[in-house]
Amino acid sequence: MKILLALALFPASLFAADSVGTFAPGDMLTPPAAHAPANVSRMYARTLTPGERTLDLPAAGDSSMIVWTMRAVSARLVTPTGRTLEPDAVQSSDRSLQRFRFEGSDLGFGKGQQQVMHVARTEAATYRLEAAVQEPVTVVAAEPESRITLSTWAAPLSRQPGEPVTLHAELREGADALTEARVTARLAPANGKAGESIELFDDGRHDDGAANDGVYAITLNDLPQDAAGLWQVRFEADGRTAAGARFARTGSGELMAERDAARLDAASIHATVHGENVRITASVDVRIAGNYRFDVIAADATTRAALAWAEAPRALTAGPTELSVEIPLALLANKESLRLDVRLLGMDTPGVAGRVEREVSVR
Amino acid sequence: MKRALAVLLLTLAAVTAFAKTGVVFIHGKGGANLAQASVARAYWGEDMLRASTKGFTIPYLVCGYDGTQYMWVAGNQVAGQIYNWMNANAIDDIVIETHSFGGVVIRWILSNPTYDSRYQPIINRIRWVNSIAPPNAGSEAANLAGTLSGSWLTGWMVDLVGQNNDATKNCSTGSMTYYNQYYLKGSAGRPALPKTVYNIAGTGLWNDFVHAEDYGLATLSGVVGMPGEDDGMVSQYSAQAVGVVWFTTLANHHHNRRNDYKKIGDSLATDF
Repeated sequence: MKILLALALFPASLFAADSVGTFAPGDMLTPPAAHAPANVSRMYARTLTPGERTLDLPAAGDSSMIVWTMRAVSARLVTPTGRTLEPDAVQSSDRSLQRFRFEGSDLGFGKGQQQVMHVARTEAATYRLEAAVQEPVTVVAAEPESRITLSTWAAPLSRQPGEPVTLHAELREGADALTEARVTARLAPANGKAGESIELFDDGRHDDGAANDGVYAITLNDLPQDAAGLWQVRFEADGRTAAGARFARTGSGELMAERDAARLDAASIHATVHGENVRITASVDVRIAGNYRFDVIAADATTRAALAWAEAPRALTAGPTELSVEIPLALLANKESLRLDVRLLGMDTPGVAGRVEREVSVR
Repeated sequence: MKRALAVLLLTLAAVTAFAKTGVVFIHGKGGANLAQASVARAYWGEDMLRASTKGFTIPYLVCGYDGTQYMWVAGNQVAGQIYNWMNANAIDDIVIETHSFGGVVIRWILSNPTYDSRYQPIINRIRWVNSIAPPNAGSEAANLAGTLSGSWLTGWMVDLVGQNNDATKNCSTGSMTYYNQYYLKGSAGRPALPKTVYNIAGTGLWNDFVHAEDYGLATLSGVVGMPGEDDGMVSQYSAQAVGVVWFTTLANHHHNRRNDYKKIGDSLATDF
């Protein structure tokens, strides 16, 4: 009923496609997260290349192990104590090592048979995969029950041109920090090749918190390439546990490099009363002409209770312009102060052209 | 109880107002060949379609879209099919059934009604959505695809994993966090979706020791380490991040789009 009433109050001069709505009682203004949830890894990836006949697979000794080859190559798995799972064997004589196969396309992992070797319980030592391959083969080794985790993320999730980028990795053995590991990262732009390896530090001088707390980080002034879209980050960690066992982990992170399609002027955002509505206005400098949507989320400035939202699709030409959208006063509980989350979103190529959060007085 | 009451009321309303009910199936991501009708149909399996439509007595549409594309590209392909079908058949009460990424595709349509002129007319006719195993908060399995893609190999352009395509990229936890925050409705802190989404989360892995898919899904689950329960591809927390929880199923990601290991199609048919 409220929304119907709100729509009925819209002046005819406004864009017909604009829409407004309310939030449920209890909903709070929720700013976008600075980064994606941390990717928590208990696995590592290696590549077996033609010419290499063995691949070392370190195990921390506190878990089972899954060794997954992305092709059903003829491979022998050798344990630290010399037990083997022969290439054609389904299991070892003591059944502690097992092999099975499945079709990769069933999981969306490309065509071809995949091979998995399972170690029921590892020793804290290095296992060895022996195989002769004609093409590079990706090998993934996972320790699903291990206490050793690598948690990674990249920030900001929505990165505007010129913003620095922070790569963050946290190594833990249970709750304990794992220090003195070598942690590196590589960044790959959308549909592109990864760049050079970048080292992360746990010395308290690289946006990594305190020194030797298991948090490794690096802040980059800029991305390695001027490329918009989804960037992927691959982290690698190698080190030793408190007991001296060697471990390895591979993690991931992502961020969206925005296109610099437009700039939203934060200082220009204001809210004024027009009849029964509040008109929210912002100045924008459009660099890439096209279809956009001007979104506003309005909340109580004091309590941050989310009150109402508005979405206004607009076709914009390049150059400066002013955008506005109206929300009925009734949906804003007649508040005199609002906290606004104002966004300009690209619609031709989805991406955040600008976002500002600002407190305004309703005049 | 609420859902059962709604079904009863809607049935009575349909009888009184002569509404014509139909059901639409939207599959998950996969190959480009999912745009072919026969491949899209095989995705679900005949028994799922038969059971969900009460023996094919309910008018239905099996959408087929290129399973490698971004949600907005897939959305337009799906919207075109739904729009044409609903107008050609005068369907004005649509129940949408989705599996996996299909749940994200329909959320794109529901969340962005002005993106395409066909979206709002479709939204107006949707009763609700039943979303099976949707990666509403992303899938850690999709993160793995990115981690293992050929981008990281110096000197080779070969994509060993083969499936780090646009749809898979859309499904990563980072991407879904991004799109949930800006473009999709229904998640925490965002405006509500205009129609109710009922989710069905998969919480089982080992359904059938004969089939290799179960080994693959169990491997994936073990390697990526999805938090909590999962169906091999999508975690329960992710499937339940949007909408109303209808029920959970022990059918894994391969089986929960079918009517075999668990009779999910029979459950969907209770809408009619």
